[in-house]
Amino acid sequence: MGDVAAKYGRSFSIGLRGAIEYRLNFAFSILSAVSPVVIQTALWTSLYSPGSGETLFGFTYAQMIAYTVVANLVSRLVRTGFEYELNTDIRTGGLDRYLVKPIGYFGFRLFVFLGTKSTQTGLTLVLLAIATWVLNAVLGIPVSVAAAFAFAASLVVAFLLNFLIFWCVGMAGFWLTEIGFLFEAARIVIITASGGIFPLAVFGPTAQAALNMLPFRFTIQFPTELLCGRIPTGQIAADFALSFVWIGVLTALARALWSAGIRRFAAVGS
Amino acid sequence: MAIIEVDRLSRSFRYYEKQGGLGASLRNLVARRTLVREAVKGISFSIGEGEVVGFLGPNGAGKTTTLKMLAGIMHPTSGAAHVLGHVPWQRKKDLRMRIAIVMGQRSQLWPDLPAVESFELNRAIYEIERAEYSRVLGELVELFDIGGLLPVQVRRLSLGERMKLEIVAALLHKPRVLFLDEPTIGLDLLSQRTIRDLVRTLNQRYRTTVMLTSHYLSDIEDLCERVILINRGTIVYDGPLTGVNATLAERKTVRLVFSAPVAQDVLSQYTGYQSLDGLTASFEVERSEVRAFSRKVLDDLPVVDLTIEEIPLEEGIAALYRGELPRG
Repeated sequence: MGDVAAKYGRSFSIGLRGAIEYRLNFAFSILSAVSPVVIQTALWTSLYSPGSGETLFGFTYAQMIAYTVVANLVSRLVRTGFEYELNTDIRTGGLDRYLVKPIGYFGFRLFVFLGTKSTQTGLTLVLLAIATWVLNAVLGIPVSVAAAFAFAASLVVAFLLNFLIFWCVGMAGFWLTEIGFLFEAARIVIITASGGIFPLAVFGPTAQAALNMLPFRFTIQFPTELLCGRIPTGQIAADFALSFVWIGVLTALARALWSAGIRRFAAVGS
Repeated sequence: MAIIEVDRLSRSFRYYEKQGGLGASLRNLVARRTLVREAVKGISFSIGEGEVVGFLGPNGAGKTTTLKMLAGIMHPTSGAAHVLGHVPWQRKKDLRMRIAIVMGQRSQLWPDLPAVESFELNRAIYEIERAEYSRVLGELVELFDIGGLLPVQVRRLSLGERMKLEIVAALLHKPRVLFLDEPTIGLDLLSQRTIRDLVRTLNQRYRTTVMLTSHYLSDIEDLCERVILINRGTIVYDGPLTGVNATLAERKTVRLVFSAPVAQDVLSQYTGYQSLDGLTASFEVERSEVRAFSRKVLDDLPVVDLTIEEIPLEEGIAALYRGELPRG
């Protein structure tokens, strides 16, 4: 057990050190997070009549701005990026060097990615803490201790789900040669279906009911709404249960794709 | 005791025929013709502990495919193989802990980090005790003379320096079997020699079994007592390196330098005529005929220099590839 922890701990560490080598890139990635928040805030500000207290899609103006800010931070937290490395490893045959070693490739990539992301994650969590304070003190949206704990748990679920989703998308590389376009297309569709751009209520009740059953909502909208106190207490457990089911389904899918993919990789060669 | 055993191992690849032109591309979208290429055709051999075996063949002969099957990266189409008693493509942990593969054209080091970070990762992956790791690394650092390279970002190193570190990374867990696929490719002569010295020392010190592919014959001549030659997926020779030229040893290369140009028509009348390059001509002559041949050309032609040489190893290998010599 200690050996396994050491393997993945070292994978995490190498990801972290790799990320620190590129500090400027890191700084720009934080800056780039600001622009969608500004654009969406401007959009909602123009849609709401000033001072009327009206609601759009069930959100007051303050709630909508709170949703926009928190959803953006959450989407930063769960955002992947390892799928390009996965694809390169498959396409160039770089996967070989891991297959001959006594380490699981999934765990290795997961922990390297966690390490790569950890500095950005730390900073985003600080921003989230500030956002929580602003929700409470400025916008008058109370955040209870219980909600904060539920939010923290939902973030772990959200990260795992998003990782599994993009892991499955990334494994398309076993069958398709050029899939950069697929990643971008998938990212846009998934972020939209996750409520990362607008709350899912915007799409109307039928679409929202359907999207509620899919795994994507749990990657952004569910944590965001938990923090903003928009999910009735009675429904929280059921939502968590559904998200666990999706983790199970996607894990099974990822395993099946991996074993079929690796058979193909070993058969086709590189 | 056999460390590597290969029994009628075969591997074929399917691929699609693609012709040039837009029309052909569009037709390919609807119906593609599948072709099969047999990369490795039922090869068998066995390698004992501590042997350093050269695995040679022209491009596309099946060398890398065979190494990949033995390292467990690729499944065979048919046949069997055992490495350290394991079926390699089952990729059991016990086997993965005891083998290593170094591919000259593929790096296992993290380019953005100093090599020592990748070494530390390997230490964790191969579950090496800290004290043992420090001891082995210290030994390898001294042997490879790489102390100064450890803290440098890998992508800032020269190819030769990087290759030394690649090999060190592969040796930290003291593999019993080491597969080296073109470890000296692209290296200058000095670096090639360093890598060769290292492989030799390694084999002598740890009795590591080494299977080596290389296009550079000096690698093979320096390191391997035994060679396996493969061409078009079939083994054409398996035996001592000295045996490669055994049949050719009955012939010599005679090289002549002329003081004035001699027509090719004239030269081709002599038996064993091979080539003419400016004022230099070469002939392949039976050992017993060399004396008479030399006397005749000295009398007949404007010869200013005459040298008699052994036929180079390359020629012997090329002859084996062409199937001109008996197999070992």
